Amino acid sequence: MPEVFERMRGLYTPCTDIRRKIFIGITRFVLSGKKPEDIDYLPFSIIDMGKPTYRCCSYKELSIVRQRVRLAFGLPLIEERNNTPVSAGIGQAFTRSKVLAAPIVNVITAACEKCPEDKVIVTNMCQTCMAHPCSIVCPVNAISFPEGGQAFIDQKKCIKCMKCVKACPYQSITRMVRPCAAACGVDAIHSDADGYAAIDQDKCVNCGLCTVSCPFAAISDKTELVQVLHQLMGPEESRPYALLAPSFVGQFGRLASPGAIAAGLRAVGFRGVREVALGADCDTILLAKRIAERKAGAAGIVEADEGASAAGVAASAPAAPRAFLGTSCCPSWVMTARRHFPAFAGNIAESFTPMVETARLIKEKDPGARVVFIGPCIAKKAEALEPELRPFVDHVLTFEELAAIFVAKDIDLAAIGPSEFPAEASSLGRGYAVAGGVAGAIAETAEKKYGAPPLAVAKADTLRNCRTMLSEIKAGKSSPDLVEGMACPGGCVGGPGTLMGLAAAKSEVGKFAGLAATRLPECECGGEE
Amino acid sequence: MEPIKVRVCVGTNCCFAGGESIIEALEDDADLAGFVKVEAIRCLDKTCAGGAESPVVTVGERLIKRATLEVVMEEIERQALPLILGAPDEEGRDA
Ligand code: FES
Repeated sequence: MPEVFERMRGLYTPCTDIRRKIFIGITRFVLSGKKPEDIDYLPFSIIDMGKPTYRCCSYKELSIVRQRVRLAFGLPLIEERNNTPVSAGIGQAFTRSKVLAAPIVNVITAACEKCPEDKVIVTNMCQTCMAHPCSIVCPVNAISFPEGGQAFIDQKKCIKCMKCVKACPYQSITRMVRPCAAACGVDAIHSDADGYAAIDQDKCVNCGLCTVSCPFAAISDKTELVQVLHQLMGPEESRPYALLAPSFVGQFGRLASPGAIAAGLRAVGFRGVREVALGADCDTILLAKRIAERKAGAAGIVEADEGASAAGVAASAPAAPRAFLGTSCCPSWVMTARRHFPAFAGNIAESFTPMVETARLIKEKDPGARVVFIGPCIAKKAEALEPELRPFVDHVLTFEELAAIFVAKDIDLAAIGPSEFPAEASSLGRGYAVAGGVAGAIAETAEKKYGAPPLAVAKADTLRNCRTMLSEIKAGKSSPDLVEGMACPGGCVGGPGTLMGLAAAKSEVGKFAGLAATRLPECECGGEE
Repeated sequence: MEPIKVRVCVGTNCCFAGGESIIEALEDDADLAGFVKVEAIRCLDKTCAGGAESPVVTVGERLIKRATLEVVMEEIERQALPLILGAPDEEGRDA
């Protein structure tokens, strides 16, 4: 069975539809110069009152859409019971500055259908068969046949061992898991007192996979669309640069070439466009050097890493941490590794992510510049809130949010003729978008540029697999030199903010990497920290 | 038999409204290979009306606005069945 977030992937469902309609709706709203208080009318242009499409009645749809609009403005949800208008405090969203604040990922309680958390259930397909292997294999005697009818599972006894599920000749027994919780690789989703899904924000690492896995679209992230629009509408000199994450290629349709995407960004008001693969090159060089030195016996680096986090590690460190180097570009992976494996915290590189490195390149040359990162990633929204990173990245958008700006501004990327995309980054840097690409780039650079011997690489995508990988390293089952973790299935190309199917996206990224001027990185900053 | 031409607009408006997932699904559907020819096209003379009518798909001669995969597949089936089974008789029954 594919993972829960793979099952709906690539389908245009009513959940996709409502999300995109809201993005387009608020973009048009802002572009047309409407006043903040007019926002109370906006939900009515998105849903059809009197014609409920998804829920029991229009009033429920209305209250859900109100919450979606709030989040899209970058504002907190409104307290349902207080009957607060959508417009409460909305004025503060009409700014070029940052209004986004944690939590990034939110449950819209009115939209949550309280699906069962995790239950093994007998479906109607049960034939009450003579063999009834289900009750025979059940180790806790949880299955009975009340009044000689269909099998019944006593939930108090059931331990979810799945033996009955496998034994039933009719496949009539199934395990039903809440999709949001199943998608969460760090077990951050539980139920509140009323049975609605609730996110434990201390556990959440903002990967955002729950937002695309809930079949009722009840979980949503906040956006910075409105603030970015204000920057784009501002005076020429304060317009932002667009930083395109390496996974951008092909995201806006097969006829929208990288050059056309860059031209489209300039057409909607961005001052310039740089690819984040450039910052990826900085990271590759930094880590390749470090790992090559380490391999050459310069053990100083290992100690420096451990020293940096010694305070947090000392108490829980069981044995000496293995000397692997962990990649640092995926913030959800970094948070997961540090929280769940404190003994390994020092192994994860302390370097800035490619997003921050690229922003730094721009701001070094032009200190007043504003920078908007555009990517597949929800975790980047949280990363950019970190106090020490705030000066570098002003705002974060997803590809989906950007596409809404193109539509609202009537920019057809497919109609933009052939246009150049400057070949700045290396082919390995462009490959960061696909799982395996980061470790691959570091290993190849370490070997070819810095003379390291062949490296042992371990890699995993999805946080559950990342955790398994780290458990195995901890248990001594493997001892890699280099470890890559990615929260999203398939890497960044599988992120929640993407628009394109996984296979097509991977192949587009590969083609674009092939067009780079060099294979190995030649970063401008020379790998300085 | 001539394959049925299915043209899917992948202009920005149509892509964003689901055109891309329609074309990907049609291309990935092995059952359609042979009797359907899928083609990605640019904005059809603003048929999309700024996205309000997106996505736009044509199946044979028929133009479908606000297309969904279900509707497109239904239309393909409607046009393909007589080709496969022979023309229906007067009462519209399949031959
Ligand atoms: S973008 Fe498809 S018809 Fe205009």
